[in-house]
Amino acid sequence: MTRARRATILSYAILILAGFLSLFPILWIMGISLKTQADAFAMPPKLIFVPIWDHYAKVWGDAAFIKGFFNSVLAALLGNLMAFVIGIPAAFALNQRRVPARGAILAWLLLSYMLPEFLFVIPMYGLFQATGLYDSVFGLALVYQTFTLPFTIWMMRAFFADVPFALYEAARLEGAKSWQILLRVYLPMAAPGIAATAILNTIRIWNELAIALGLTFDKAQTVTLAVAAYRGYASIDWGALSAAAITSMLPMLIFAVLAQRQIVGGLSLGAVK
Amino acid sequence: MAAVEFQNVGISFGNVPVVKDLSLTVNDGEFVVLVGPSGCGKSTILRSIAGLAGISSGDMRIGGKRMNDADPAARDIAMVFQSYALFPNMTVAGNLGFGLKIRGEGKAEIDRKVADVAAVVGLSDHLHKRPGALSGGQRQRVALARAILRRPGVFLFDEPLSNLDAEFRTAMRAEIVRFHRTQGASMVYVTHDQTEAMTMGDRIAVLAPLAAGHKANLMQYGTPDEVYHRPANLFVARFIGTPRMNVVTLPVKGGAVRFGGQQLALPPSAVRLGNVILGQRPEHLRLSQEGAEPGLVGTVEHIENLGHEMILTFSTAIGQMVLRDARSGSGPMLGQTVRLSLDPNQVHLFDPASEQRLD
Repeated sequence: MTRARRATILSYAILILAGFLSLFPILWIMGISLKTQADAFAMPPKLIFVPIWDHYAKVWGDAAFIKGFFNSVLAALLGNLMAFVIGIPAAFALNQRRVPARGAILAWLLLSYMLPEFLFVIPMYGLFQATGLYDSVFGLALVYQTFTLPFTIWMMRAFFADVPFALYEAARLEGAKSWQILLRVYLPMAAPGIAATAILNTIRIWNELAIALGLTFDKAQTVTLAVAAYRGYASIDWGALSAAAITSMLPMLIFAVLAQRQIVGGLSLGAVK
Repeated sequence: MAAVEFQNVGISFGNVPVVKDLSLTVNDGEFVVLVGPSGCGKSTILRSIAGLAGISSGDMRIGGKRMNDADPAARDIAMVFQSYALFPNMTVAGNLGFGLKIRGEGKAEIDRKVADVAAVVGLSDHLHKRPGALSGGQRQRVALARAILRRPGVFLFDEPLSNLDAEFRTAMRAEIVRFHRTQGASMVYVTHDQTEAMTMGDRIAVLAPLAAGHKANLMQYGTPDEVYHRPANLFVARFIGTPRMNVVTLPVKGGAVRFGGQQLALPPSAVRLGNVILGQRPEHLRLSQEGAEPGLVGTVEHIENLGHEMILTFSTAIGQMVLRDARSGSGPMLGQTVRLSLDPNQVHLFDPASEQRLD
């Protein structure tokens, strides 16, 4: 066997192992969501079984889950909207103008993106109670700015930096103001960047649990909390929990498959330049 | 049309001066080429006319008005960028109509003007295409058409031909010169290519980098003939002309210098010097006839046969000399020793200390 062939076989083996490790928990949960309680916990595990849809029917008929699902959709939309309305002009200014300590600002943006979410929950709890933002989707989207906004500014600045500066100058010579240049030249050119950023923001908002747990109670509960709600005080409804988990995963899965190119483009930004 | 005047202009980037003490006037309708090596400030000067580079000292006027701090859009200029700076997300029509749209003109009016200018530059069939689908030459035309649409008093060109292949560059060179004749507007054209400078400009400004120790950037400002035949200093003499001018430092003895056996009388301005720098263009250097006047002995080191002429490089006792010979194919052979002589009417003399021309 040649060295190149051995290397190919080894890389395939590693890929298959990695694929199995990441898919196994999902397949296992999917299995539970399609089994009766008895089948789900049979020992040895039942690999051949008659699928049942009862758990999905229960979850899809559960008003609390549906509300949580759409609250998450709304939080993702609002969270992205706020992040782009503020983040795009901020990123443009950071890219085009001579901003003192630009490097430090960018480093701080990246750092704040990495801060643990619970850090914001306790101070925000009191503030939200006082201002009436507690248990509101708007309030949640606002707190989500702690990570979506720095990430949006960081990403958009990097995409704007890829637009040749001569285009900005050419537009200025034509009499365009900065905001016109942003809207007519930079945004259309950075459209893949906007898509990548929106997708990554949405995934992060969709999967967020800690902030939603601390700052919502009933009305604004998100899909992650709705899934967790099947874990009762005295018992766990494993079938419904699994069906809810799989259901909550679907939008992001479809999103990720459809926008794979943009996500990879966004993640590998600056990797080759 | 508008004249551009620089009066003692200085431009710095932070604490680093890039342009110093520049005084130069581009007359109404004149085609001026700024030429010089990298770092000489030619693009910075052009950008300062456009308002894309700030002027640190002195005055810059366009059409008689001081424009140091004016908005780029208010300067009555249009610029063709080296990269063309076409908006890749817009069609050719979108690119051409961009400025008109920004300035609030109606759609019908924009369409009419775009169609007119597209016809002028031969782009009528490409209006629906995006820049990515055009060839380099077509992109260049879009950039030119965008500039024409502004109807500016001054056209600025920042090395617009440098991205084109050699054949197309020659064609575009002629096209831009023709364009200048028809438009009649003032044009300032930046290039590092001296062929472009010599063939296009009414006048040429030869610039030198401050980083090389020059006190000011402008080395000479004159017609192509003046710059070529009467270089004001050693920098211009060496920079303009391909192959470069032969330059040797010779001792002055008895009011003359010796080029091998050939004696050359010096003008009064040079006789008081200990040494003098002598320059002669390769096309003026001659191969001495057998038994004729004594010259400098040289051995043929390298031959470039260009078909219509030969470029011969000789090694001599005072350094390498290059001769351009129009008699292709009949010159000396490689390694052959010959005698070289100067054309005494085509000698350029420079002061070794100041490097300025001696007449």
